[in-house]
Amino acid sequence: MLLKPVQLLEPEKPSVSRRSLLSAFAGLCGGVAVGLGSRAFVSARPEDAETSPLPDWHQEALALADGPARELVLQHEFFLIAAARIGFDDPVVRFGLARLSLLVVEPRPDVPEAVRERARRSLDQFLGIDRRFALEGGR
Amino acid sequence: MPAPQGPSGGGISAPKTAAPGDRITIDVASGATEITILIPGRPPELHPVGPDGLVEFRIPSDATPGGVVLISDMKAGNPSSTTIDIESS
Repeated sequence: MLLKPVQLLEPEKPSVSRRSLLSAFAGLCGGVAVGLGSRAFVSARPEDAETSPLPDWHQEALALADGPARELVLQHEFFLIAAARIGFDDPVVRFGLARLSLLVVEPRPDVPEAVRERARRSLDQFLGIDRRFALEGGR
Repeated sequence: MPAPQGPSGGGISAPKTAAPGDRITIDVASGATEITILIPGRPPELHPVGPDGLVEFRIPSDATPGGVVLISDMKAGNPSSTTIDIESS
């Protein structure tokens, strides 16, 4: 499944007023504040936030979620840690967790059994201990 | 993306199991300068790698027996990772 950016629809002939302009500006400021806050949280280091909006591993986690099943199972530790740092409300993270939960329930010929079992146990820990990790329809 | 080289991910070695409260040594041979340690239910922790390539880490005394500790250098493209099982006894 390829996840594509959402295209925003253009508003139909917006009626511009002083009040709506003020609302838009306030919303923009709020969005920037939220964006900067989440960026700082994800990078965990202020210097990273100034130079790069998201670390490379963020992109790697997204690629894993949407990539070959074998890689997602083999690198489940990397993905789970990245998921915790990105945020479990991220739709791609949720997709990756749901996919991983399906992949680890049955033996796979292309993944060592010990690794699959480790991935299953790790995922169980995430899904069982903290409600934030619960998936909606993931299994 | 290359696959990990083995059960421990190739570049990170740690004990397979540890008890709550245990102090363990993590060997980081991947060249990473810091590692991320994650215990489910807690926020991820960043730990700097010493010049000897070692990281000292204490398993929290209230860690859930039967749980896991995830460790990774979070190196994009070729991460090294491993898992420690928290002993039940």
